[in-house]
Amino acid sequence: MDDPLKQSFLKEIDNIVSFQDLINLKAKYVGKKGLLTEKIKNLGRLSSEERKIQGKALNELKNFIEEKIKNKEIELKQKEISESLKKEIIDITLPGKDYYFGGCHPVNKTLYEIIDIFREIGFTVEEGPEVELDYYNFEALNIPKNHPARDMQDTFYVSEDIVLRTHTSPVQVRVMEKKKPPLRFISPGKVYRCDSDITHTPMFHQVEGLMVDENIAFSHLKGVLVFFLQRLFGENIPVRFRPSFFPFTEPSTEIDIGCIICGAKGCRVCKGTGWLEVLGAGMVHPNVFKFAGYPEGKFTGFAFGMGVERLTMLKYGIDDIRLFFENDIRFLRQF
Amino acid sequence: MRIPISWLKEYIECELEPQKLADSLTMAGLEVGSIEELDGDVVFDIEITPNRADCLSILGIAREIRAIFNCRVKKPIFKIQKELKDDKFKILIANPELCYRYAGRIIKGVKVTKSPESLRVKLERAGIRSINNVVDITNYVLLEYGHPLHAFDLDLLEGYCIRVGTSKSISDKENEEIETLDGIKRIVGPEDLLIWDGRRPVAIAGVMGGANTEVTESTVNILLESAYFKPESIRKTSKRLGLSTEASYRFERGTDIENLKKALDRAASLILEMAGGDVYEVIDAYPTKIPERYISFKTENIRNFIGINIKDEDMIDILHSLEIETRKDRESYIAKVPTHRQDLTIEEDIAEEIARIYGYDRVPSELPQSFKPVMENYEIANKRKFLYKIREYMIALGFSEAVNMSFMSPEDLNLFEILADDTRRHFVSLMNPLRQEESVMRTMLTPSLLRNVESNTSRGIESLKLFEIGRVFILEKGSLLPNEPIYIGIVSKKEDFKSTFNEDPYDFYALKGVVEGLLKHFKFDNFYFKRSSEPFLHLGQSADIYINNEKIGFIGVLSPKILAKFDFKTKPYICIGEINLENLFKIFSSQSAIPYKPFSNYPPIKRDTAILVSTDFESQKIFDIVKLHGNELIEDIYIFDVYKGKGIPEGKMSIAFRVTYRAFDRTLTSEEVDSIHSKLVEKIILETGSELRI
Repeated sequence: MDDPLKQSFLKEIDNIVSFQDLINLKAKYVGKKGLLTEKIKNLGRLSSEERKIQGKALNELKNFIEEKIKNKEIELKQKEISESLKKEIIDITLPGKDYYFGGCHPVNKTLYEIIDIFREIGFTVEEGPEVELDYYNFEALNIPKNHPARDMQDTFYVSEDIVLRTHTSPVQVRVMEKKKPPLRFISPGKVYRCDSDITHTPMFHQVEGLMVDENIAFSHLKGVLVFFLQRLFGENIPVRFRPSFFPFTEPSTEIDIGCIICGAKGCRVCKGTGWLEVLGAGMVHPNVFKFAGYPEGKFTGFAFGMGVERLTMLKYGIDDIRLFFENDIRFLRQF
Repeated sequence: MRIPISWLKEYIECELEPQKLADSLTMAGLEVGSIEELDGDVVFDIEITPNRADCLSILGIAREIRAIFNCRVKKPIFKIQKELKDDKFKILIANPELCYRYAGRIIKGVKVTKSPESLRVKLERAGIRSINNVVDITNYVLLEYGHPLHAFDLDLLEGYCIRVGTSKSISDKENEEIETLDGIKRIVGPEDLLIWDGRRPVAIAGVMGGANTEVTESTVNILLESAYFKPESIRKTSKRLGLSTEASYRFERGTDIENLKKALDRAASLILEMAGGDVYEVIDAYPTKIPERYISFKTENIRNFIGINIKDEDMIDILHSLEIETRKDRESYIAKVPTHRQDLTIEEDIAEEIARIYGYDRVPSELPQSFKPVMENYEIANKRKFLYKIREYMIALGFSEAVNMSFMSPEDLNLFEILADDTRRHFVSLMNPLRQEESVMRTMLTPSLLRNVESNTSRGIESLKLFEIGRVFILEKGSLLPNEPIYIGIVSKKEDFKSTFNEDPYDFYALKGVVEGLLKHFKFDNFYFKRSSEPFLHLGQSADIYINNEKIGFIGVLSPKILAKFDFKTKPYICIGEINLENLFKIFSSQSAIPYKPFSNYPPIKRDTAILVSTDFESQKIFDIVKLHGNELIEDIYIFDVYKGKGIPEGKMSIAFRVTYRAFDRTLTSEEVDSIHSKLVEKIILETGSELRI
């Protein structure tokens, strides 16, 4: 319907920007004395036929106008909120409240990572005391008193027969005394050596592992440790096994990875060799099985051990072992 | 051991480039630790493992190279043309269980001078200082053959004899004094093996010679000694004296008893050549023989044990290249252990010899085909998870994880004013600590955490929060080993500095909140706090933590008295705490699953009330009264404001609390709640002697 009233209303409402104008507009058209209201009031003067037609049209127009005004009101309200939000803009680059941000110790971080890798291939975790009997720390591991191999580890003594464990290997013996193969576990923990300089601290962390069953071969030792090192340092890490000596394993091996500091080119950290020693390992010496009370010749197995500080230093490029025990918050918060 | 390559090359018949040689030695178990270029020569520093005494010599290394590269070894060729007879000189061995063999040669009329340059250079490159030609030759042969020798000035030996024995068996004295070649007077014990002349000790067997019979430029006649001493005995003596020498290092690892005469002859011939003189026949006392050793092995066992496919012949070839003779014995082989390889005793040793020469790198890497299931040690596994969660919780709350040495000083306990009867004084002492500050095992975690705070502060850190989870060590009566419970230590520090925003609380209540949150995290609900009497805590701002009437730890503000003993240049505000996680875990793991508690969805009605109490009032009373009141419609009560100051009378404070009421079966009416609440408030006022704040 090309009603001039509607045309003028539409033109006016388009220009409305304030609530007051909208109220005025509403009064002008549909208020008590509004233009449309007057028209509706005047309907009575028409014939009933005409009234019916006109009445319907005017009512539709009234609904239309009221709807438009309502929508305009919502539109104005939204606009008003948007305007006020602009005034509430804050500096979102200021730090957040309750700025909670603690760091974990990097050695423990690596330790838990090592545990996770071994658990993935079915190793469990065992523990033992840090103040240990000489018997478990040495004798039962085939290191009798007055054996030159005792020089490999400077020992803290509590008494003639009690030491601070120099490795977590005594856990091996303690577990074997209680359990029969198959065995597959690691024993993480703190160990102590009477030694302190730029590269040694009197306390450090070790993870020792043991796998014992029938028909375990040296090639399995290689398989498990290559798997471990590739998980820790990435699949492309070069790994080599060198013959070595530990009293509680035979054959024994030390394991090197390609230097990750210099890319195996030779640097200060790898002393120019391109290789970094990271693990000691070997096939369990039959004497250790004997001490554990296992039947002779029935089982074979391998053991391995690693220093967690060293692995952590390599992984994160930390060049001073003493940083681990200063507990400087600026260090800890990086992990 | 330092090996000059030019010297080594005198014995091997093949040209080897140093880097390749070093790599191959390393991969055969003789790790070349460093390669040094020295005046046109190359010197390897080889790390010889304690089992390989046979490699503590140039010839020993040459023997390994022969096995690795399959080349020939040229052993030194020498001959003693003329030997004189002497029946008078006697060698007596009083302790044949310690000295298995003692051989000597007398050389008369030598001219002791400076060594020729070629000899001096060789020794110096190998790391041995030149003395004179006779002593240098004994050292030269020590490096060449690996067998230590000693030269005495024959004319200074009294009684024209040598006796070998402990002071116990020779002089019957408790201790003997002897001045060794390094000019130090040493006291040796009754068990230490000595070399004596007719009257007195002249050397500490296998360790160092005596000054009284030293070969000097005025020496004319000498006695050259080549002996075999029991390794454990030499090691004991060397350890006891704190004196390790080239000789003792080799004797304690085991020398080659059969070859000691060859070394003696080699030295004698070199002395004749360089110092002149007449040599006498060998006097050889050999009371104790080391039995020949045979090892039976099966090649099939070795193939399975190493996990390689290697033919029998190839294994036998490797063993022969190492001078290990073999013969077939039905299904097995018998290996004859050469006298220089006392480390070989069992089949696994043979397997290692084969594997290392075959090459560890040629052994395949394979994961076992199938893993049999292994039972988890649940207690350890659960405890580890428990500790891991605590650690994660603390880190999430902004605490950083510290790791300290497990040591402390007994002084730390005085610093903390720990009472005499406290179990924390039952510490484990070390016999050989590195420093006084690290002389006992720690019984508390907070002393070292406070030192961390101290050092962080001195580095300009204003606020910090640290925790450490670790064992403490408490001696237990009747138990050989100490108890090693795991504790958590917590510390927070803040300087007197107010930030305009981002205010992170560091006070007693903040730490209490952390501990409460931690305990609730593990669904403990039976814990409570009691005023603490720990001597190192602020007496008014500290609490002991209890679960089931058992004290599991403490928290509190560090006593200013203790703080004053630390070296803080600033004015820190420090809270500390310790909890016995071992006990906490025990309680945790004994808890069965807590059944679900239903809750109501009818609307709650809340009432706020403030009361005036005296300032030493403990709000716990309010909670206790509400609990005892036992109205089932009371759902919760909490304190939302504590205030003293303007508008409140002196000596009083206002505590405002909110009680939430809710029923399970209906919507409560306001009137109903008003009536219950006013009764409750009346009771609180009556029992606490407080008044309503209007």
